[in-house]
Amino acid sequence: MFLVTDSDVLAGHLQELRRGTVVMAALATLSRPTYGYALLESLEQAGFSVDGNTLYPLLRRLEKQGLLVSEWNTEESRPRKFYRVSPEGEALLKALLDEWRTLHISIEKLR
Amino acid sequence: MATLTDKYVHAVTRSLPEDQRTDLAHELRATVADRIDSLLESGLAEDREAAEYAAIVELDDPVRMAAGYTGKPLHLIGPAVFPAYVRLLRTLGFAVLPVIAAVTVVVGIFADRSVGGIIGAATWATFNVAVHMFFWVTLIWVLVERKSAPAEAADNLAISWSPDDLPDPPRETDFMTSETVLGIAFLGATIAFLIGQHFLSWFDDPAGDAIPMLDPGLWSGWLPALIAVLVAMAALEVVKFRTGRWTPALTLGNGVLEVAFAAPVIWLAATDRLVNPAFLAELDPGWADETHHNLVIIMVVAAVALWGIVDSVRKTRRPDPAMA
Repeated sequence: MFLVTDSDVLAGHLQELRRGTVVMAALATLSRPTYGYALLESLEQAGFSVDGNTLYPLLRRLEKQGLLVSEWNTEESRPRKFYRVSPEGEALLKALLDEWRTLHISIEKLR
Repeated sequence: MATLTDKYVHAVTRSLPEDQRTDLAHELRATVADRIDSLLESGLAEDREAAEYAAIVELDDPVRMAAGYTGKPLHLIGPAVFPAYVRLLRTLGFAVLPVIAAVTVVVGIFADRSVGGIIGAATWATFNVAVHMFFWVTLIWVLVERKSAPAEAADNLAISWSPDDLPDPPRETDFMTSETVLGIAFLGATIAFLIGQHFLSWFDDPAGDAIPMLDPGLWSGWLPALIAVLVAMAALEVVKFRTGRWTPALTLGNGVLEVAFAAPVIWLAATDRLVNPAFLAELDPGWADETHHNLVIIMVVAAVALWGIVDSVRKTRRPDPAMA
């Protein structure tokens, strides 16, 4: 029988589940313009442990797909590239969240 | 001197398209610098150098990072084409390598090489062809997969799988093919020995003819009979393999054949009529009087026969009721 205390198994499955939600989490966070490292830290605090070598390329990919827009901010001492979600990104996030809810309902029905 | 950050940024951006390089380099530098500050503030690193080192360690291999940006695969043969790749190599291997080995052996025989030379040449040629096959097939597949869009790689390699590709499952059998082949090879070798010892021996008589190991007088009756039993044993091996298991009839047949071979040999040895006296005399003039060799022959032959019978009886099963 599976015990919730079986932490290795649990951690593995949770990580698997969260991996697919990093895009949603990033799009949600980026409603406010944020730069790469700050986003990484916020995601980590929210429990989405994602590696830099996954997140930074992901941001570029989302930008290429038109879901994010970016802008260099040179006002502070260190110039940083800020990302912000585009209207298309908002729409995608909404679609993903709808799907997320549908999945949740479907699973509840299956129980 | 270049800092760790310089080196890392260069390593990541060198394989990226020109137009992205500068922008990405700036962003990476800022990111590393942010992480360094954070590590120093939180006290996780003692000084700037250690913090930079730790920050780069976290970003891991630059090739992995660059692959994230370019979307290039981090494998040679990807999961989409791997099963077909293995299938192709196996099919090619089974189709080509035995032919290469056989051809080299035949060529070696015609070139009148020594047995060792033939085996060596066949092994070397087969090995070379195997290495080449592996290399070229792999290279072509890697190139095609890299140049194809992910969804098209399988099509470009013409390897779409269908249920029609399924091979027949192996026949239900208790006997491995190798076991049967070895068994028949052993019987063949025994027959070859019985015939060969007459023409090839360690000793030659003064006229230059071989001194047979077994009494030549046995050719009128006993030896042909023993060879006939061995041939029957080989036939039994084939029938046994085709049946797939020891049936009571096969076990009985096996027992009869084992006895039919062992009993005459033991009797001949016991009455000292098996080994050629002339051969024994050559072997060691003083040894011929003793009869230890007969005892050894009797024990070995009896043990082999007994084992053959016990093994077959032990493994005899009633027919599987589910299969009947």
